[in-house]
Amino acid sequence: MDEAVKLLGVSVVFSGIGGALALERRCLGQMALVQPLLVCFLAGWVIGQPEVGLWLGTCLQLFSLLPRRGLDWSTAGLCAAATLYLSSLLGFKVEVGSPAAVVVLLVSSISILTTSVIDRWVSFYHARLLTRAAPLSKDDARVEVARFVNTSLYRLWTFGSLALFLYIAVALFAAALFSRIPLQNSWTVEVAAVGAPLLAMAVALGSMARRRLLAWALVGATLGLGAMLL
Amino acid sequence: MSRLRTMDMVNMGLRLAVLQGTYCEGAMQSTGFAYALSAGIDRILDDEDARREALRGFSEPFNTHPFLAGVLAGACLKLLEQGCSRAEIGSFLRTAMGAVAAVGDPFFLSALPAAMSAVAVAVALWAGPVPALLVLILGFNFIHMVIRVRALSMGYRHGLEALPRLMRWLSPARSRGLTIVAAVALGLVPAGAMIRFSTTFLHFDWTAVLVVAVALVLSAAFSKARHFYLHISTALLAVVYFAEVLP
Repeated sequence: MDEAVKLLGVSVVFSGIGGALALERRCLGQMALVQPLLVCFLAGWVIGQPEVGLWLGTCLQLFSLLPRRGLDWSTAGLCAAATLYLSSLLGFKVEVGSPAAVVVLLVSSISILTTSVIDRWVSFYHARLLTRAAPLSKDDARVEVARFVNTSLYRLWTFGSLALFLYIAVALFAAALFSRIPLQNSWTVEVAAVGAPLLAMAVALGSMARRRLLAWALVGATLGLGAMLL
Repeated sequence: MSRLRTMDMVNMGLRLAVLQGTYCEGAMQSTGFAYALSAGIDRILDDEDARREALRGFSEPFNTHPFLAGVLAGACLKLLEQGCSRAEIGSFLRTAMGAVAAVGDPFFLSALPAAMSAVAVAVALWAGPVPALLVLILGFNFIHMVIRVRALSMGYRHGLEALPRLMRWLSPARSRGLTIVAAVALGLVPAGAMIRFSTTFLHFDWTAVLVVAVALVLSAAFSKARHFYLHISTALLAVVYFAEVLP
């Protein structure tokens, strides 16, 4: 019971911080502080497994290069990082390439598809609030506009926190379920460990959608293989 | 002589940061834009009625790239200072916001994040996470903060002449250069991933070449069907799951 309360408390705190960080990504600063590579590596480092943090961060950072249109990959990074941290509190390990790590990656990636829906809701609520309040037509327009800005930011934070709480719950449940699988074949772990970053790299390069860039990527790949040879 | 002081510029710059937070259907960024401008309007106009009237002029739908909204805010204040009418400023904004977005979107939404993310990932795999995080945060923020800060002062100083200058800063050639950097860095990822996350692929042989070739073929395939990766990653999970569960 105590463990469950502690877990819930940590999830709520994570969601609150996540909501604030989502606000940073959306408008306050937008200084790229909530990049998946950063938050996942930090989570991995805190729990003493920097490699898995780096693996998740690398994949999500590359997925984040997909054309945006309301997709918020910082949420995916926060979701993966929080799941990684909470998994260590629950006592199960998420290792590079293990089924648990792949499912965290997958759930985090899918979770961002809903962020565009949330963006649309927020935009809709803001529009309704703006119609009702009409701050610019009031006599004291400056004060009313400032009030509207505060309400908008509060609403963004609330929506961001609630969404992140939901994503963390789903990812943690899936990770706990998949972590029970005893690893029998090391080759599957190897394939997933190298396959997921490769897939993410292919997605990032494919999203640029220019044939000439493939030639430049080939230059990079040749350099990489040459460095491996050396 | 300019009537805006440095602190007014700082105040407006901070207020412009919440521009995207007030985005909504219909009015889009107009309320946030008016909020940012109100700090400068108070300094430029002395009469309270004139201030209120000027602020109401920004109630029309407004949408541009948030990082470059400063150049328009600065130019609007310059026009207000020169005594331009509400209609003239509205007409300028309607024309300029699309042009600014057309310059800002390819640079700030595609080229810069792609280059910084790809370089950071390549550095993380080849040289470790700490230098990678420095590249990611310092590289992105240095470029975008310099442009954000200078855009506001440039808009106020040069007024209508600020837009051609902005176009020169963020030219398509620079965006193209950044995407080439991103592509080369992405090419380094497969070998880096093999070194960092695998023990089997560590020795250079034809398997490594095959892995890189598969990654490049997948890239070409994804350029046609961008969300196909969700099916492939689910299939990867299924393979890992069944291979581990089945005896």
